[in-house]
Formats: sequence, C-alpha cells, structure tokens
Amino acid sequence: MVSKHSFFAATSCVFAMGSMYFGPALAEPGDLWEVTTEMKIAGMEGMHMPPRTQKVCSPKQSDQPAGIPKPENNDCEMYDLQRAGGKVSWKMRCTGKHAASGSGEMNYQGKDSYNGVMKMSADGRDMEMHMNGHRVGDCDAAEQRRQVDKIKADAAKAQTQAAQYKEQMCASAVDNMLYAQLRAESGLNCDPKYKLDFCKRYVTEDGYNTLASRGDQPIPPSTEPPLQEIGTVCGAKPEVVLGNLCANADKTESLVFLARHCPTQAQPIAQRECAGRGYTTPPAAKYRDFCSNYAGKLLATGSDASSAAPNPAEKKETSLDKGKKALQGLFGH
Amino acid sequence: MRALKLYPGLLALAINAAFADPTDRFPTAAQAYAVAIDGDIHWGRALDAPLPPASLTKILTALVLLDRNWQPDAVLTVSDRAARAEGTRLGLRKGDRITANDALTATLVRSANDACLALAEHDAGTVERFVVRMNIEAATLGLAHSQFENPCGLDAPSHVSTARDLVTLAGLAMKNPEIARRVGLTTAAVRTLDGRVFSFHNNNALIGRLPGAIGVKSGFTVHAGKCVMAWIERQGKQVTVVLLNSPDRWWTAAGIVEQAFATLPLPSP
Repeated sequence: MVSKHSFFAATSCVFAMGSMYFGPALAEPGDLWEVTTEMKIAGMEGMHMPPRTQKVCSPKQSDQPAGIPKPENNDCEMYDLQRAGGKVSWKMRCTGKHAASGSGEMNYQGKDSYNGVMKMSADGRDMEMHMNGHRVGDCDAAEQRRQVDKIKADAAKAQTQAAQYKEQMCASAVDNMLYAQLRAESGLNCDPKYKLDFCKRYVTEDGYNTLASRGDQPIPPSTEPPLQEIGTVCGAKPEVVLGNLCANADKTESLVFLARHCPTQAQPIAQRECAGRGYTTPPAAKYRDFCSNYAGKLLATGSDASSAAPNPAEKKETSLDKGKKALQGLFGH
Repeated sequence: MRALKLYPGLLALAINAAFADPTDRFPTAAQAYAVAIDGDIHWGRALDAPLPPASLTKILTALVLLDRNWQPDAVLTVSDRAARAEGTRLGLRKGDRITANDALTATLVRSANDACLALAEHDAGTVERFVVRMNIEAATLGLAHSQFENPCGLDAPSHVSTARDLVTLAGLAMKNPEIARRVGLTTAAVRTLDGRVFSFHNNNALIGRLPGAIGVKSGFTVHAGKCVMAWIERQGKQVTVVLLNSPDRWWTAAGIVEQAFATLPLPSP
C-alpha cells in the first residue's frame, strides 16, 4: 500500500519551485512572488488540504520563467518544454526510488502574474497541484537561496536524527525486552538483527528476569506478549529456558536469580542460609539479598515451596497468621 | 458508647473484612500495608483502615515542630512528665537540658519518648496543646483518616492513622531535609548540656542493611504491633513501604522492596 508520506516524497520533494535554483551565489536582484499552491490527490478527496501561500524570490536573470518547477536531482528530468505566447507547457519524469511522471502548464498574464497546474502520477496515485503567483516586489535572490540551503541542511539533519532515534528505540526495545516495539505493526521497522538480539537476551538471566517480572508489574504494558508467545517467537519454550538458567545459576551461585525464579534450587539454600536468621542478626553478607528476595517471593506467592502440603487447620487462620508462619518458619525476627 | 472504648486495632480487624483490595499482592504481609512506587500506591491492603501507628507518629511530630519557627539551638529543660515517659527512652532525667536539635535526633533515630515529650512541651507549652497542633497539621497535610492523641505514638483509643495517610506522610517527611538527614543515620549521638552523652543505633533496622533504604521510621506498641514506614531509592526509582502490624516487619519489608524493584523497568547501569 502506498503511504501518504511516500507519495508526497515522490511528487513534492523531487521537484521544487524552479525559481529558487538559479543565479550566482552572491547578492543578485530578484522578483518577489507571492505564490499560492493547492494540492489535490485522487482518492483522498475527503482529506481537504488548504491552499498554501508563500513568498518566493525569483532571480531577474533566469533561463526559466517564474513558477515552473525544476528537478532537484539526477533521477528526474523535464522535457518537451514548449512556449506559445503567454503559455508554457512541459513534461517530466523521475526514475528510481521516487518514480513518477507528469506534465504541467503555466499561463502568464504579463510579467506580474501567472497561474497553472502540474499533474503527477506516482505509486499509482494521481495528484494535481494548482499554482498562481503575483509579483509583489523586489528581493535578493541570493539571500533566499541561502535560506533554502539552510532549510535543506536542517531537513537533512532532522532526517539523520530521526534515523538515529529509530536505532535508539530499537536498541532500547532489546535492552528493556519490549518485543511489541520490534513487531512490524509498531511502525518502527527495526532491522531483523534486533529481534535476534532480543532472543539472545531472552535466554539470559537478565533478559528472562525482565520478561518474567513483567507480569508482576503494577501496570503491565498491555501490548507486550506473554512469555509463552516470546518462547514461540524465539523458538525456545520458557520452561526449557528457565530450566537451563536455573541449572546454570545454581552452578554460578547467581543467588538473586535463584531466589526469584528457581524454587527447587532456592529452597535448600534458604533453609541453610536464611532459616532462623533475624534481620538484625543477618545471614552472611553473601546471602542477604538472596534471603530478602526469597522472603519477597514467599510473600508474593503466599507459600513456601517446602510447605506445600495442605493443612486442614488452615481455614481458621487469618492471612496474617499465615504470613507469620510463612516467614517465621524460615526467618527469625 | 462501649464499642468506642475498644482499641482501634480490634475495631480495624472487623473493618478489614469490608476492604476488598484488588491490589493486595502480599496478603500475608501485615494487617494493613501500602507499597508506593514513585509516590503512587500500587499494592496495598486495608489502605484506609484506621490503625494505631505507634512511633510512626513521631514523623508528624517532627513536621509540626519544623514547620513552626524551628530553633535548633533552643534549650529544652526536661520535665518530670517527659522524664517518666513510657516505652523507648533516651534516659533523660527531670531537669536535664538538651538542645532541640539533639532532642529531635533522639526522637527520630532512637524513637525516644522522653525527648519527644520534651520537644512537644517546649513547642506548645503542654502536650495537649501540641496534640491540637498535630491534628490541625494532619488536616492541612491531607491526612484524611488520621487522628492523634499524643505526640509520640503511645496507644490510645482515638490515636489512629492509615497505610495510605502514612505513605503521604513519608513523602512529606523525606522532602524535609531536617527529617531526611536524621532518619537516614545508622547511628547517632546526642548530649545534654551537662555533658551526658547518649549514643544509639537507628531503630529502623533497614537503614544501613537494605540497599537504597534511606528513611523513614519504625514503631511498636502492644496494640499497634510492629510497624515500619520505609523509603528506598535505587537507580532513580523510589519505593515507599508502609507496614502496620506486621509480625516480621524487617524481612517482610525487605522482601516487598525486592519484589517492587524486581518488577520495575530500571534503566541499564
């Protein structure tokens, strides 16, 4: 599907008002024109674009009449330029990325006024641009050219910045494990390498932890897919990934990861290192964060992996009693 | 009316049943609790249940003192009533003289009730007049469900606050540099003008132990149970935890804090 953006790029950007591009670099006399243009795009009649009026400085010494667009790059050319009395007509075509073709006609009423139309077809769409201009005074054509050059330079800079921003967004999606931003629907159009990076991170402790903790967030991002879907996207089931990560975390003593995600491996460590320890007479420094995280996990899940057997008397307990037991069984005061 | 004579803790047990809080992620943590991330409460239980706040009260006391012509070098003379304060004390004797600055440090770090009463008496003339100021301040600060009967947090029938109000209070306290500076100390020392020196650890066991814990206060009474309001900052994110009547408050607070930060998308180091 042709986007509105690419259509404008194909038609508007490759041709510019010819009067802007002639003459020497230093100060030179010019005619100041007030030019009104109105764009109409076939199939987009419902989208009314108001006429646009701007002042354009056209060099007095020019090989082309005022108001006639001139190709901006080598991919475009004007041909079949004809002049009959006060009427000038031409054809034009562009090849390459912004392929387009069209024609135009301009009628001059003396030296101070013109009106005309330019028709273009690009990406299967037709566009008409109606123009009329009135000379309103004198100007310095070189100054105008400098301004135009500056605008062009600013536009190029903005384009570069936009590209950099996009790269940053894509990299940030990997850093923060936000898969929704890497999807085609996000509009970011991230390079496929970012998806590979995302999947590489998914099988690491850090990446898995970020994804697995997301469901616990107070307000989880609604656009993010669940862990199972990530598993499908990356071709590795979460339970398999977690199994590998837990085994590795056990070997490398990645204690906080064990406390948060690996109850089987964490439970004996908790019994050995946290049980009976008061917070003010703490476990060994190495295990302090482990014990805090394990306590948090117990509180969040409401049960200790070691006391999974149902207790008939539990119905009579208040939640506070359960909490007391859950932590007292393991932790001191 | 007889029911009003019941301690609010008992009353709150009944009230709790009426609170169906959808964000109760830690149902066994405390009789009432709140977890706020960057000031917004995301998890909680019985957030608006009126419960005795024990010495968390002293945070409001400090705000009242600091908001009103605070003179840190003013000399307080300890009254008989202050010297006989119940609960945790610094050990001040009747007639001892101490600066307001040191008394406030002892109140906030050691949770000393003798220093706390001496400050209240010095500020308002009597404890009762100070309590009036506390309740006006509470209303002004938007602590809608809080009511105070004394400056130091002793149990009293109408001395109540809520987890939600205490989150607000914690935020106000940590914005006050005089309070924030004190409640982040692991140890402190004060002296009377007669030269007696008192050194003590912060009663808030999270300070110096839980990474990022830089305030605010703990409290305990028979009716309030074990309470704590904690302020933790890590990598530009801030978590407040308020626990009221939490049987194992330190591990519970530490565990909740770790859970809270584990769910936050923190910036890469």
